[in-house]
Amino acid sequence: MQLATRFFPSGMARSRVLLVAFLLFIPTLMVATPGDILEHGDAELGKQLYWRGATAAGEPTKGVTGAGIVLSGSQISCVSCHRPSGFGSSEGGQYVPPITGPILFAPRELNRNRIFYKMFKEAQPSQFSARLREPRMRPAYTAATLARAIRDGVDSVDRTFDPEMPRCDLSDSDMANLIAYLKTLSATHDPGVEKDTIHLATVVTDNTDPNQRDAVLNTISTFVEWMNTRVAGNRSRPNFSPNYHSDFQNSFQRWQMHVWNLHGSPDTWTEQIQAQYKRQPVFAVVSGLIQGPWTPIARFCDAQHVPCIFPNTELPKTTDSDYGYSLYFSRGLELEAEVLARFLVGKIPGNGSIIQIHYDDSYGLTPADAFSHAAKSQMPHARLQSVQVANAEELRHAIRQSTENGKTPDALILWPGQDLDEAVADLRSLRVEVKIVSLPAGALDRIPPDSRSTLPKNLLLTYPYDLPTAYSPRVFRVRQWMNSRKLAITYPRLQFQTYYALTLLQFGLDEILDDYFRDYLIEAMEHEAESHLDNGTHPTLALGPGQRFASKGAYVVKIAPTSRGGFRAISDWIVP
Amino acid sequence: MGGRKGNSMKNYLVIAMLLAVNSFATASSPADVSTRNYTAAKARYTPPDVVLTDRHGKKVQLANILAQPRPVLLQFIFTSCTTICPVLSATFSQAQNDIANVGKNYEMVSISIDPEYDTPERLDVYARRYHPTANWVFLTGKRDDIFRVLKAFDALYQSDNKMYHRPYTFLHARSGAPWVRLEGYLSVNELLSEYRGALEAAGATRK
Repeated sequence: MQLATRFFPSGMARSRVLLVAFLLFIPTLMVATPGDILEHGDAELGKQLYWRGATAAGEPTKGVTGAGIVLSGSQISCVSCHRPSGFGSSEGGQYVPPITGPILFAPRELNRNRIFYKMFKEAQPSQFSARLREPRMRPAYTAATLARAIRDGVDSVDRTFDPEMPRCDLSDSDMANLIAYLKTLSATHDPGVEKDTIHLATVVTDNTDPNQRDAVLNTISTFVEWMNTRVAGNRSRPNFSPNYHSDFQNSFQRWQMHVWNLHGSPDTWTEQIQAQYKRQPVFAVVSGLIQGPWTPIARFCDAQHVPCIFPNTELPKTTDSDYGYSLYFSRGLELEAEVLARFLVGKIPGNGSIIQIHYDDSYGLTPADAFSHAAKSQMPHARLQSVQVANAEELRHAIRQSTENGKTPDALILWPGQDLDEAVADLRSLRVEVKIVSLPAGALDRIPPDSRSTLPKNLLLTYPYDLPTAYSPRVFRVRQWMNSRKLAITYPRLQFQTYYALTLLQFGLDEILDDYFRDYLIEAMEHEAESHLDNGTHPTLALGPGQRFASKGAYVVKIAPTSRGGFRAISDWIVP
Repeated sequence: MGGRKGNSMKNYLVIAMLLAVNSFATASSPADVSTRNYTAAKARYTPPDVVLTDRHGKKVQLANILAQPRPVLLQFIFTSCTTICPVLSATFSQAQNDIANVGKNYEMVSISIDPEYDTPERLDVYARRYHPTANWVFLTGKRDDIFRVLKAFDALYQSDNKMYHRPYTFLHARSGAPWVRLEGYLSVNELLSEYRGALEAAGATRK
């Protein structure tokens, strides 16, 4: 007011100025309607909101459930319930509907296929079934109605949401960001799928045992052949519809399996696999057999967002693995080392001495580091000496030295890399007089049951698998399946693990139907992994949202020639 | 079109009626039954005498927590749970002060049903999100022991799949008193009124 008086003393001039200002302002009003503000968000900032519940300013979002419970930040992040794919979830009798861009911004269509799995294959309470069967028809959301839905909990026809959906307090610009992200969420199919074919790959390295590699690859090719016969059958009879088969014609895809052979140093694997992927993008990578660290391959999986499903590896990528794109049986050698440390607590004196001899490759360094770390926290007064060796000769020398000069450690831990045979031979010939000598589980495969009696009595092994005495009803079916297809079972565990990975993929694809989004596939597998598909390799295989290691513990076993399998557990299932 | 709409409306009414009947049938005391989103029932449970581990790695005898002459509120959760656990835990979190105002001597217990993944460290990270007071313990343990606790509270889930676990809250006034079994998402006021109701029924209300 003062400013206006100073420059435009007369009242008339002032009113003219106001008029001009108003006229100038009209176009601005026309451009910046509230709806428009909501149309121009930043999808990246919206992703941050979706995933972490953090506003553009980095503040935690706040929201209130229909029951008045206040939630904020990560408690309220959209990804929690609607999942990375946006396809929603079902948990605890709660149906969380999909919120992908194409679904939100189109009128609701009655698509039973999308909820078929939830309707008929899940074990949910009756309220859940009732909720699924409510059509809740609505027109497409606009930015304005979607903003209202997120803020006030009412859909585009004023229907109130379930009380569990938080009503979120978001500024216009944060809302715009979120809407921009939702528009992109699962909007276009992921690569690797053609009209009738889904491309898949498996990874093997050329340094693996050829017999083991054949066992894995034969299992895969037998499975793919079986799958494709089924698919061909389903496709050839589109009007034959037992179990509503004809409804799903669009999702019967032929599997095309590519075998990606990697060679040379692990440092070059990421590059090699990227090149293979560039030649033929695949929807997912399944199983495989790797000698060396999985990390270079995990890098590819994470970078390209390709699910890499249960590879046969002892060296998974264990850092930043949650919500990553590799799913594993267990943490492998790192897990074995931690289990061993946990086992030794109380078995050796608190200030006892431990010598661990390890190779200088990833098979030696990974467990040795994990053991040192675990021992430090669990046996802080123990004296741990680590000896690094580079070859079988040095290994033998180090084992001999460990008990020389009258000093005998309380435990001798061996991580002999791939030279497990040498380590076993050394223990036989050197007759190490130490209370506890340990080897990783891999050594068991190198000790034929009939020669186990010649091993030192003090030898222990960590064993992250199920015991030979355990019973898994599913093994019967899997063996029958393999036998009836004349698939020789030469490496049962490897082959059963491979079969598990393939089955999980099969069920995952069954659930996502023709919504070819990789995040959605992973979510389906997280859910399915717990449904007793285990075929006796591990006591339990179960994942959860974001979890990437299906088995979490190990036994400590001792050679026992008269026991089933030639060894027996001397500990409970230890989860470090 | 019109007929179809009519049908879906009819379906709606039937479903709504069934839901209403369901909640009436299972309801017991407080809150306005017609508007609430949960069911309540009374039951007697005999929790097993198992040793669990709290979020600081300390061994805890479950019986020592439950078999005390003080009120206990108990939920089953898991840290990677996405849909129902954050809401369950947030309810405890926001009810803490009000529960303490009823009486300082009480215990809140959140037990992980995914114990092999939920190490004490993970449980601690999860717990901190909810700013628990000293009266709220978070427990994990051996898979078989957790199974026994779930079984004792009749809270086992379908298909042995934790994704099918249900939003239960259990509470009782003291050792020996019946448990109130609540299923659903309660507001803080609803939880408080159930809590007060249980204390009154057991003659344990303080002035």
